[in-house]
Amino acid sequence: MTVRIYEGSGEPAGGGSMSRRSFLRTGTAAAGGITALAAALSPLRELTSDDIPSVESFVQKHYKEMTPKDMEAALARIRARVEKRCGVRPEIRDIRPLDGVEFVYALNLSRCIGCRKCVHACVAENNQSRSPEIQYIRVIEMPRGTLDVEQGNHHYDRPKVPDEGHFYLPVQCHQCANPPCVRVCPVEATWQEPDGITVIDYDWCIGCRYCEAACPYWARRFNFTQPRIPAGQINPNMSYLSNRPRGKGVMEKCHYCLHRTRTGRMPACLEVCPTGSRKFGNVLDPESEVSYILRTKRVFVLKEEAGTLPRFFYYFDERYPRGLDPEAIEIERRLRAEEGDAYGALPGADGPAPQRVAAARWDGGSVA
Amino acid sequence: MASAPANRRMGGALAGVPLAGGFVALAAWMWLAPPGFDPQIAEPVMVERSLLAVAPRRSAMTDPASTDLGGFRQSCNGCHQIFTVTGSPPGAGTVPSPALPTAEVDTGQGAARQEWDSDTGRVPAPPALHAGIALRHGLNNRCTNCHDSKDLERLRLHDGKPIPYSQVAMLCAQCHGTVYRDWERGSHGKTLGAWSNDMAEKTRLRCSECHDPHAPAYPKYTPLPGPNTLRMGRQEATHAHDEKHRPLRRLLSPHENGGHP
Ligand code: SF4
Ligand code: SF4
Repeated sequence: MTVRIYEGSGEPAGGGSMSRRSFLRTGTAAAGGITALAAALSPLRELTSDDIPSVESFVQKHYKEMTPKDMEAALARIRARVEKRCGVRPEIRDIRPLDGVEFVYALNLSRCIGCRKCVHACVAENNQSRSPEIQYIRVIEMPRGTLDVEQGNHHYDRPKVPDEGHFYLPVQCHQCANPPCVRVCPVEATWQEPDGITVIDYDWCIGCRYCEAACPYWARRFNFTQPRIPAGQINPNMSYLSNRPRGKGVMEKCHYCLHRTRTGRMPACLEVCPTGSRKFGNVLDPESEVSYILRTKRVFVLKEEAGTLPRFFYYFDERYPRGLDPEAIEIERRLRAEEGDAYGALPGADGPAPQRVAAARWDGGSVA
Repeated sequence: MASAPANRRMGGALAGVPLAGGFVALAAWMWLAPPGFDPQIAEPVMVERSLLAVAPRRSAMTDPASTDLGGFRQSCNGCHQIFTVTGSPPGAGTVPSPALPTAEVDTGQGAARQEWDSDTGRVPAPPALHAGIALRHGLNNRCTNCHDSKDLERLRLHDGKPIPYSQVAMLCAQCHGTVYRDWERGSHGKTLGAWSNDMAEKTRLRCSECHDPHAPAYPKYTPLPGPNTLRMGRQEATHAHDEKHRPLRRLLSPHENGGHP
């Protein structure tokens, strides 16, 4: 007699001992299966009424296919939901792009001091989740003399910034003219608007996170849980495509504060920056600040080789960073030598610190 | 062989018992002890609203300039009619006053002798009335480079022409040409309000609304808290969270937690 060591062949197993074995096997398999099922189903326990869409929101159309009436209804739904969840009545609108406007950002790397005010002003303006934390802007502390972001650190924690040996590189969505995130989205939940801003329809996004993987600047943020914003911290000035509260399982990112900028105002990160490093405007207007910068400054884009054609530019001034200009240091030294006390006796006028002078003696590359 | 199918039916029926039991146990478990999803989420880091204020970094000086004297605004000329300041940059055309005072000024820590040097125009250590002013402006270490030596409440250009405080940029431009050019076109400095004048009102900040003219270099800032998102770095998980996620460790070394059971 042949002993079959597998089940399910359709052949009679035969024999009382086989039937006991099959009983044990089926039982074990059933128990294992149920445990797996239980594990797989357990997240369902976390579902709240907030997670289950109403019929109207379930059948809501894609942003581009909505009629003005559909949009009105959608905005009314959002208003009610925000009021229920956050306790404030939002001013929510659908703000369309302006004609003849293409937005561009420019950031002066000679001036940024890495204070991170832009990061937190953005969070407050755009109703990002405070916990778990979602931030659109990352400020990367970079060693002087390189643009290799791999050497950067965004967790820097110093009592005071800037640090003499580093410069600071804030990164956020670059609103690329050739956006890889838009191309990978399987449901067209993200697209580029005529004014250059890449937006997301938070009600259409299925949360697959393809776009997050495609972005070379790591600009996209995913809501792994229901965003949490403490009471009283909601910004009620909202628009459909920008800072209205997002739900669990959708993607979000910087949108150049479109609810502000499409009404002529400046983005929140720009207005809070204490150093004036951030510049924003219409690149189609030759008189704008950003046009002047693009025409006259030394400008570069991050990861140019990715072919994304960003609308976010970094630029430099024609100057050494503070305290590192060898010529200025030499003049100061000479002045001190010639004028002695007259210079030194002034309160605070103590000349350059020795370590600053030492730091200035770097020859284009490595910093000690 | 009629007994084999019967046995199989029998086995199938028996297998149904643990299956049904399993479902009952599952239902009971989910009902009584829900397996909560417990992400390790740190408490939010709150940033004071005042740190995110959108305002000029400093308020520009009053015109005419004044000083703070024990809580009162005091006009500069109140003292400087008596204590003239002499010495101007070479070639500026102003003649030092022949009667140079040597003043005894009480600085609060005893009298300090102030020697005014007409030959070099060097500024001596300013007395206590100037305590709020720390002069750290590099080569520009003469009061009268910017202040009118005859009327110290006013500013004047190098050629002697007076200039109102509202146009202070012209004064700075005498030395900071490239920065002035960039400021005029907007690549240096700060624009508040609007990116175009068509839809909202645009405000350009003036030099002295960001820079202290006596110490124009920016001070260092205390950076706001860094990222602590799920992917951006380690979450500062609370102790309770830690234990929940490492039950084995608790079993293996129960004394590791100190006072915590
Ligand atoms: S607020 Fe301005 S200076 Fe501070 S990190 Fe952001 S860009 Fe840099
Ligand atoms: S996460 Fe949303 S926006 Fe991103 S690719 Fe998937 S569906 Fe599109």
